[in-house]
Amino acid sequence: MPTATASPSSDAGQLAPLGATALLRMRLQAIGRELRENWRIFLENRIGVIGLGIIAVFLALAVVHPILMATVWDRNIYDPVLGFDPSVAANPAPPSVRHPLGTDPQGRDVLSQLMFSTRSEFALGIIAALVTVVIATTVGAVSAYFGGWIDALFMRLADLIMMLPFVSILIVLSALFELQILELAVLIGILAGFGGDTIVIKAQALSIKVRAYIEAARVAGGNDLHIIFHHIVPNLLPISFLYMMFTVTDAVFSEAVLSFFGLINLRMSWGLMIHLAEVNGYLLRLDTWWLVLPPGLAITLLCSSFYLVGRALDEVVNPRLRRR
Amino acid sequence: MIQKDLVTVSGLKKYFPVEQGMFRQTRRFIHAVDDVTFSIPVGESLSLVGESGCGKTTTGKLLVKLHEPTGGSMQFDDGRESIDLAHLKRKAMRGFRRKAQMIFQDPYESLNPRMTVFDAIVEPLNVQNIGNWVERERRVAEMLALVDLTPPSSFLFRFPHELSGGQRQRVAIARALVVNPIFVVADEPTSMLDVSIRTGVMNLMLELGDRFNVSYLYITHDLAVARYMGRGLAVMYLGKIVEMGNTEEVLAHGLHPYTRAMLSAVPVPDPQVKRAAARIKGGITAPVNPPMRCRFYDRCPISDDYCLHNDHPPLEDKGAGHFTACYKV
Amino acid sequence: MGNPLLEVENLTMQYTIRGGEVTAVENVSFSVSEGEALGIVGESGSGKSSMAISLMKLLPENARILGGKILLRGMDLAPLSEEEIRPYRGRRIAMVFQAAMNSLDPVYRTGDQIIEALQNHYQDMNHTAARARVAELFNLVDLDPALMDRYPHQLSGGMRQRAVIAMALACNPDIIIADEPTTALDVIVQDTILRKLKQLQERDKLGMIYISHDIAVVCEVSQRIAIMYAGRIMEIAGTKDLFVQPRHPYTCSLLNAFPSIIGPKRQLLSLPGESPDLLHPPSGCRFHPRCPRVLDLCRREAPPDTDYGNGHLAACYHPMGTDS
Repeated sequence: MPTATASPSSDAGQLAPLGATALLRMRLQAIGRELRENWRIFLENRIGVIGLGIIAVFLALAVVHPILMATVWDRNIYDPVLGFDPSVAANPAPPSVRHPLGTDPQGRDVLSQLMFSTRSEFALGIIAALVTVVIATTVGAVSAYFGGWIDALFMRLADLIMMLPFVSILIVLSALFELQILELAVLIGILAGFGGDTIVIKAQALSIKVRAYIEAARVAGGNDLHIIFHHIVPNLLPISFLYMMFTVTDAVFSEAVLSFFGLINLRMSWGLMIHLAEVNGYLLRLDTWWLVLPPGLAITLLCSSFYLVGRALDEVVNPRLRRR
Repeated sequence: MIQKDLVTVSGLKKYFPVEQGMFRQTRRFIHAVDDVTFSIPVGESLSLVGESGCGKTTTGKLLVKLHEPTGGSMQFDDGRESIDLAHLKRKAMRGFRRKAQMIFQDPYESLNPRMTVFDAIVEPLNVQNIGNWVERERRVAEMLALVDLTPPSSFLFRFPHELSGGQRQRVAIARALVVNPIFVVADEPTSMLDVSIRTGVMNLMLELGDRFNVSYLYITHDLAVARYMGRGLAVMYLGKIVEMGNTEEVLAHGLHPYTRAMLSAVPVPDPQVKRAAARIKGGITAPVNPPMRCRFYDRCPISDDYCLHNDHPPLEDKGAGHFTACYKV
Repeated sequence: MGNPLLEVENLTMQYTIRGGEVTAVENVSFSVSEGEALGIVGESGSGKSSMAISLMKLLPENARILGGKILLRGMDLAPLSEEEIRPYRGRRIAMVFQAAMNSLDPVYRTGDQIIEALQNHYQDMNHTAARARVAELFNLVDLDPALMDRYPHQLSGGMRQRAVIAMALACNPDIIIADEPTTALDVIVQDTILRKLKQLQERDKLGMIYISHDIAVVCEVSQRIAIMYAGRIMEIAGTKDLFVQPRHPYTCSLLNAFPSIIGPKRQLLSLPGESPDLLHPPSGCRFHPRCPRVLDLCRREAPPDTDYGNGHLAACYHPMGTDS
C-alpha cells in the first residue's frame, strides 16, 4: 500500500484510506509492541519469573494427568477417587516405583490425586478471579464516577463484607447449600468483588476520574457510559488484573480451608486430601508424611506463585516501583 | 461597525463550595468566576490572562460546559443558530460539541494513555456519529497531516508515551479540530512545552485558526504569549476581569494598576531594557467569600478610602473599547 | 570583574539508565568570577540541571562524573569523596532549588530547617544564636521572621521560595547555584524574587549561576549567558553580545522563538524537529539535525569553540553573520 510511505509533502486531501484490514493490522502491531515491552519489564523481575515457572509446572501436571490416565496408568488402580491397587499389602503405603507419592488410607495413588486436583484448583482460582475482576472493576468505576448514593451503597456493602471474615461466611454458606467447585468459585468471586477489591479499585478510579483526559472525553461528546467503559475501565484493567492474581491465591486457600473442615462436596481436591488424612488420624504423624506434605506443599506453592506474579505485575503497572 | 459576536458572556458566575466540618456543611464558597462579562467576535480570538487561581481556566471550562455556571448568561451564536449555553438541554449538547472544543494544558494528561493516536482523534467522530468509518479514517489521516504529523500512517497507532510533548499537543489539536469547530478554548496549551517546540505549536494553532475560521479563547499566564495569540486581551484577577480591550492597546496603555504591575513584571528578552519594579506587594489569595470591595484593594498601590467603602468597580469603557474596572483611572 | 571563583574545565557527566549510557553533560567549560552572575539557558534534556548537581556533587546513584575539573578558588572538587565535599556544600557553594520541589521538608518548621543547616556547619553555634541568624536571614529576603515557626505548607509559593533563598545564604557561601528558582511562580512574585536575588548577589559580591529555560529571565539577572543544548555549551557570551550578535544558529532560533510584550509584534520562527534523544545522540554537532545552516562537516565532526573576542565563544562551523 503506497500510503504507508507517503512523503511529508503529500497533500492531506489526497490521502488514500488504508482500509480496515491495514488499520487492524497496525492496531494489533501496536498492541503487540506494548505487550512485548511489558513482558520485557516483567521478565526483569526474578520473583515474577519464579512464580510463572511454578504456575507452568502445575499447568503441566494438570495437562499430563488425563494423558497418563489414558495411556500408562490403569484406570482401576490409578483413578484418583475410585482406584485401588490390590498389589499393595497395607495402605497407606509409602512412596515406591509404582506409586511415586505412595497411596492414601483407601489405597488410592496420591500423585494421581494431586495431579487430578490441580485442574480444579486452576478452574476455581481463575473463575473466581474473573468474577471478581468483572464485578470489582465495574462497581469501582461506577461508584467513583457517579459518587453520591450509588457510591455510598456499594461502599457500605463492601464494608459489610469486609467486616465479616471471609472464610466464616463461606463456612456458613457451605453449611446451608451444597457447594460444587463452580458455585464456590462464583461465591468467592462475588465476595471478593463486592468486598475489599472494590474499595481498592474505586480509589484508583477516583484518581483516573480527575485526569484531564476524562474532561477531554466529555468535551469530545462522550456520555457517562462511554467515559466509564472507554476511559475509566481500560485504565483500571492493569490494577484489576493485579488483584485478580491475589484473588486466585484467596480462592485456592479458601477452598483448602473449607475442604479441610469437610464443608464442601468435591470429588477430590488438595484440601480434601488433607481432610482425609485428618479424619483417618494421619494428620500429625511424620511416618505418613506423603499424605499431608504433597497437597500442603501444592497449596502453598500455587498460592504463592500467583502472589509472586501479582507482585511482579505490580511493578509493570506502577512504574514508580521499578528499579532504575 | 457591525460585527456578530460568536460568544457573549454576561454576568457569569461560578462558585465552588468549600467543604469543611464533620457534617459537611457548606457555608463558604470560592468565587472562582464572579460576574464576568465579555464577548468574542466571529473569527477573532481573545486571550485571557491572569495568575494561577484567578479563574481563567474555570471560565474556559464554563464555556465548553465542563462546569455548570452558578449564575449569568452565555450565548453562543455561529450565525446559523443561537444557543443558550447557561440552560443547555442534553439533546442540544451534541450539536454544541461539534461547534466548540477544548485543548488542555498538559498533553501528558489530556490523552488517554491506553488510546492510540488514531483512537484519540477518531473519538469525537465516533461518539458524535459523524460519517462512516471510511470517512472517519480519511478524516483522521487528514487531521494528522494538517498538524504536521507526517506521514500519518506512522503516527496512527502510536501510544501517547511514544510521542514527544510537542507531538502530543499536536494530536490534542487534531482531536479538537476534527469535528470542524468554530470555537476552541485553549487552556495554556504550550506552557508545558520547550521553547523551541512551543513556537511551532503556537504558529500551527494560528495557521489552522485562520484557515478554518476558528475563534480561540486562549488562556495563559504569559502576557507575551497572550499578545501573540489573540487580537483581544482580557486580564483577570480573582474571578473578575479587571481590564479588557484590543491587545496592543492594553499592552501599550495598560490602565488598571494590576495590569500595569504585570506589564512591568514580565521579564524582557532584551538587555537594553530596564524595567521599573512593580509597586504592588504580596501574592494572590483564594477568593473564599471575598468582601464586596475591589478585589485588588489589598495589593493596590493607588487605592484609597473610596475603594474601601464601595463595591468592586464596574468594567467601564475608557474609550475605543478599552475597558477597565478601577475607580482611580 | 573580580578573580575567577569557580572554573569548570571539560566537565563530563553520565547517567546509566535502562538501555544504555546517557552523557548529560559533555566537555563543558566555563568560569564564574567574584560578583558575577552567569546565566545558563537550556531546554529540558539540555543537561543544565545535571550540570548544577554535578557542581554540588549531589549526584544520584546512577550518575557519575567521567572527567573534568571543578575548581573552586583553585581547589578541585571533582575528585573529592562525599565525606570530603560536605564542608564545601552549603558552606562555600549553595544551591537554590525550585521551592515547589522537595527542598523544604514538609514535616519540619521552616526556620528549624535553616537552623539545622547552620548547626551542621558551625558546630559551636547555639540554638539562640542560630535563631537570631535565621531572623536576620528572613529580614534579608523580606520575610517576616515570625514565619520561621510556620510549616512550609502554611507559606505561599513566593514565601517558600524566599525561605529557600534564605537557607542558601545561611552560611555566607561564595557562590550560589539557582536552578529554575522562579519557574512555578506567578509573574509578579517571580519579578520580586528575581530582584531580591540579584540585589543580594550584587551586595555580597557573590558568584551566581542562574539556570533557566527562559532566556528572558536569565537576561534580567546575568552578565554572561551560556546556551546549552544536548549536554554541550553551544555559545557563551556577555548578555549584551549574545543578544546583539548571536553566533550560534541555535541561540538565534531561541531568540526568535520568544515572544515579547515590547517592540513591534513579530512573527515567531519555529524550530523544526524534536529535542535530541540523548541515548542515541546525533553525530557531529548535536544541533545539526535541526539546524537551518547545517554543513556536511557538521554531521561528521563536533565543532570546536571559536573565540569572537570578549569571552564570546561559539561552537559552530557555520556561525551567523559569516555569510559570503
